[in-house]
Amino acid sequence: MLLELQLDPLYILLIAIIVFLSSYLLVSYLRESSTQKKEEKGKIITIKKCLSCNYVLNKPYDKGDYVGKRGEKCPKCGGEMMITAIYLEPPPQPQATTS
Amino acid sequence: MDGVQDWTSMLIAILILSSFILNFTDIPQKIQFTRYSSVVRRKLIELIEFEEDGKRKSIKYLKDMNLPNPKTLIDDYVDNFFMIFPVEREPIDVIKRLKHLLRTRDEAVKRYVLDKVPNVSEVDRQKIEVLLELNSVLTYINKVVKHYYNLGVKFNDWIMMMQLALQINQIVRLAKAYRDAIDSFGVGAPIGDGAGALVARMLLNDTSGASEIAPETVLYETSLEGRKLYVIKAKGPGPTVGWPGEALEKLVDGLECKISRIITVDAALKLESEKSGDVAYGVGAAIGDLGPEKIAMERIASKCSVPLDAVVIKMSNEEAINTMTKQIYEGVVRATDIVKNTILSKTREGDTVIVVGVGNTLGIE
Repeated sequence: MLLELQLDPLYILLIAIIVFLSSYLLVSYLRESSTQKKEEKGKIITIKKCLSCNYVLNKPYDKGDYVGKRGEKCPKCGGEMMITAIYLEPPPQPQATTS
Repeated sequence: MDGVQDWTSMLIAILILSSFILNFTDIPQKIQFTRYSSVVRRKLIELIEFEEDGKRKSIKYLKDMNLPNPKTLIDDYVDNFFMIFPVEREPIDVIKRLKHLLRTRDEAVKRYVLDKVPNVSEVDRQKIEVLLELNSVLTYINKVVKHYYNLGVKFNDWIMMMQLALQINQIVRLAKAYRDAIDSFGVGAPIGDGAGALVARMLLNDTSGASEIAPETVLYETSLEGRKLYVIKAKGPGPTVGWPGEALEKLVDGLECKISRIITVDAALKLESEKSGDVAYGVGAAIGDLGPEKIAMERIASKCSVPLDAVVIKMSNEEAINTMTKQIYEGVVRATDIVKNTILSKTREGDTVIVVGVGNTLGIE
């Protein structure tokens, strides 16, 4: 009985329209949800440099840090350290897998 | 066969009917209007969230500064302190008038903050001013979008709604950048726009002996392989851009034009195809102000016939107002090398060179 089922052109058209619309909606939904991924911000790094021995120290940013701030002692030679840079380090990128 | 013929005739009838509907009625436009207005409505909710989130964060940062009534401080500011641009149809002294209005507004904002919070430090006052300005921008963006959305709905203007729907993603991106900037300014680390100021700072070994040559703008004297170097930048580490044009004018007048070169360094908006942190050099005044500071630089350079160089560090609008990324910092290091090379290759020992580091000096002394 099933094999004898004949599809009329209107049915074919309706099925095609339904398939097209549902795939369009699915693609738009997937595209929107992929762009709304939670963004990772990374962390702010402070770079300090010893003015005597050029020793460089990286540490997380503390409130009140600014480029040119001095005062901290160098852990290597005891000299004065100065903040030379503050920047936002991007979050680590996921490793690309090779198959 | 008859059944198939019936369906074919019905299909042709449907096609003719739908062709008539599509071509000779407003139904497709109504459907598009409904679709576009729903897109704008959803994005408007996002914009309102950004505005409220921005206000919440600002209140938190202002409370951390021990401000008594931060909400009133913001609410009383956001709709006020606009500036009406001077008449441009009569161009005579338009720059002078614009400069006067900018100064007047600047002074009014400063007075407003000092009246509300009398015992605040200079750095905190500048921070408060920037936070108020960011909230004001977020409110303004919201108002403009709501205005066009309401107009579109009121007059069933589907073209206006379509234009708004097509631009809304860029508007949301901009608003998000301003919302995030509240965190960056609240934290106090250098922002992308500080690239020029950071280049200026990197040319200095010592910041002692600085003099305030113009309001919130400092001048340093240093040397580089036999050349005398004057470095101008905004006074840090508060979030200010200073008045670099006025400072340059005063300095060059004071030196009676006896200088060999002026080099300006600033952040510049990148094109989408360019990479953040790319450095480029050329000629002219690298500064993105409304006019008075830039024209002051151009006028003094042409008056004294001094070559005016420009070095720019490329970044997006969002990067310019948010914490400086590593990519931009690496650009700053490259730009500093370019400035040094320009000085060494284009001037001789004993010459005097002026470097102007333009930009917001938040987190940079």
